[in-house]
Amino acid sequence: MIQPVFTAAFLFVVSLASFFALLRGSFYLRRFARAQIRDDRAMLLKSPLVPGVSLIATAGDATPASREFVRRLLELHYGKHELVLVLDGLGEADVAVWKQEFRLSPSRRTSDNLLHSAPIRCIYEPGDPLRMVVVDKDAGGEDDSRNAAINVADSPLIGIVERGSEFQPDAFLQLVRCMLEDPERIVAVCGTAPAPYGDGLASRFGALESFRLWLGRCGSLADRNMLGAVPGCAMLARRDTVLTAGGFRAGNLDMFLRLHRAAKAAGKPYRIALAPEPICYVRPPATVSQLRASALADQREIAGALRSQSFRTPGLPSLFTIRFLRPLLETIAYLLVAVGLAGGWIKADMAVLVALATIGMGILLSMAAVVFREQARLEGADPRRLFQLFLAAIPENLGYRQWRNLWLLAGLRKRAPRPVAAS
Amino acid sequence: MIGRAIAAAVLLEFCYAALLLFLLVRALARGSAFRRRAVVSKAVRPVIREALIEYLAGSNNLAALRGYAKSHRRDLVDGVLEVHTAVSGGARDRLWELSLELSLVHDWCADTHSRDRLLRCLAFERLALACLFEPCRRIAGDLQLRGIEDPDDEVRFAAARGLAYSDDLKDVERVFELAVSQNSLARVLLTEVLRPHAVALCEGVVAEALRSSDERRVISTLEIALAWERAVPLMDLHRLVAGPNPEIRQLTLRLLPMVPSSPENEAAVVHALSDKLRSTALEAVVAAGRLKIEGAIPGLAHFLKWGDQEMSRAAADSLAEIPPKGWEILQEFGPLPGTSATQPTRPDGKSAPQKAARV
Repeated sequence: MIQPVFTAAFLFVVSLASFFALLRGSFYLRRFARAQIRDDRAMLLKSPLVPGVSLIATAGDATPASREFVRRLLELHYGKHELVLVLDGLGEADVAVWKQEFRLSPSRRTSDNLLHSAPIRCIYEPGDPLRMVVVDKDAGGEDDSRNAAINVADSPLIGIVERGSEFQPDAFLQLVRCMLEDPERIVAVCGTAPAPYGDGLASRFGALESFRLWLGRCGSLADRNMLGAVPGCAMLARRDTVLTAGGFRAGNLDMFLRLHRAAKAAGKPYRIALAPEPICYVRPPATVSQLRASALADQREIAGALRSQSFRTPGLPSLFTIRFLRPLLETIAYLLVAVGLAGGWIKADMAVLVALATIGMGILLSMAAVVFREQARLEGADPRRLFQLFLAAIPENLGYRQWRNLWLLAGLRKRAPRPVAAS
Repeated sequence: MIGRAIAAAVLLEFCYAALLLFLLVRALARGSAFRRRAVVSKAVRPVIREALIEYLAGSNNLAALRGYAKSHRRDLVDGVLEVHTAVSGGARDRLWELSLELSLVHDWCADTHSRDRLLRCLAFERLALACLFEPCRRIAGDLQLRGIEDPDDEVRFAAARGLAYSDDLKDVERVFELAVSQNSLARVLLTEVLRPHAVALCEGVVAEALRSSDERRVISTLEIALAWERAVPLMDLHRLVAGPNPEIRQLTLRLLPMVPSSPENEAAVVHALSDKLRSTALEAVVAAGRLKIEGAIPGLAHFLKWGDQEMSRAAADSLAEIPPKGWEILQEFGPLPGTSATQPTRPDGKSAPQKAARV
């Protein structure tokens, strides 16, 4: 009898901690929104003082969607940038498609091989006046391809946009602005904000999820200088720091956590900054299967970081608690209550306590995310949509949340090295 | 025990829900007000813009604009700032004259004293635009001098941008000092407004900053001078090329082609070709080509023959910039690996060396 009470008490404590994290994130993001009122993009675009960026991207196929993604990256607005595209283990036919698409011819560019990656077959440059380098290499997965791209990149900054993300053409001007504010200390910048959401229930669940993530994992962790990469964000990092951290091994989150570790080990004050602007975000999910896919992708990143990092890495214990321990305890509590009630071993008041600790607190947390996000914005939202979203917290926690717990637990299973994402 | 735990949980969640409901009601009210204001603005802004354009076209009918200044002041300010980007010369002066007439500039001056940093920053931003008009400068000049002492970075930058339009070189020098002493973002934002004063600054405060013993200050000054991307009258840079800090050496080598040529500068470049640090030597190779220094040809020829791929290409580039001796050296060495063996033929029938491709 005592142990379920303690479990419920633990879940209450976790929920309260999450509540205060959302509140803290809201204050931080509001401060930030009030700090930036000027549009400096035009000046950043033409100033020769802005450092160059090598955008890195990988392609695991030659589909029209992949080529479209690369075209969009080439249209980014930035003064000095190049795109380093890695063709990861493509067959001759696919390489030929890329060659034809950009009129590629062999380049004199070399790889400095500072990070380990699968062998490079050839480096190409386009015949058209595009700021682009294409690296054709043996298959090695996403992280391996990114390391190959970093070896070939020759700018002091490395930029990354995830494949499934929507991004603004001037995303990297916004990111580099943060870096220029304190170039000595800032080693990396992440930029994201919740996407505009649709009208269906799945879209609202996705919006609630993104609000919690933005306030908790972005705002609150950035305030404590524990920021890691979050799904759909655009990232800018100093190449020398990425090299010191050992490059990519288990995804973006793992990379950022290692950046924290490397910067701490250097013994100098440092910061990983957040640009909380809607410059880059995950496409808003419109169906439950898209919600599932996005939850699983995020969970895989967290699983990768948990496996490769020390548990005491900043930010990781809270991620472990929220994304693994709480879903596990909740699921066990539901099962025990269901079995106990059916067998008559526990009373109904115990079920009520578990419901209050899980469903009740879950509803309040999602509602808090909605109102705290409003506090963090300078402009007001459409009242009708805001109210609908506030109410969506109730169905979210009556069914969807329980399914999501199972997805989160399933997402932690061990996986093979990450393949290059298909569009 | 469970009964007490449930009671505590219900109480906690009730308090929590009450707080959230309060915040929700506030957010809904704010959202409604925002939407109402947006609807009104949407209707009135085109009319205000029309009235402003008519006024700028020569109409002296101020009655309508005075009315908007009373009833829709915020929209009128937005209209003025929007039209400002589309006009220049006399029309722009007339626009700022109108802003003075309708006391918009005075409002902004009052806002510079606000305790709200956002309001203060906005006010200085707007005054920076208005200061393109001399009578506005007379009103806001002192405020901007105070603004560059503000504890907030953004407010300081906004004030500095306005101050850079001053006719008094001392004010511009203060802006330069701010740019040099602050972060890289300050330099990016202020370099552009300082560019029109580059020559005057180089004759005084820039030269002084380059003589400073504070290396950070020297580096910032060199960065600004480079970012102006124009010829500047700076002397004695050869001292910096011979200095101990490699970053200063490299930045100076990059700046040398933009300053008046002197035998000392040329000698410093030739000397820098033998710098122990490869990146400095590379900058010297590029500078030698841009300055067309014949005395650097033996050093360039050495790099062409013995340098790594990047150095050898840069040396070939520079030699190609120093005809005819540089060309002769290139012809002696023949085509670089990976370049076409056939060379373009000049109209006089002689063969010109092919410029090596840049990496």
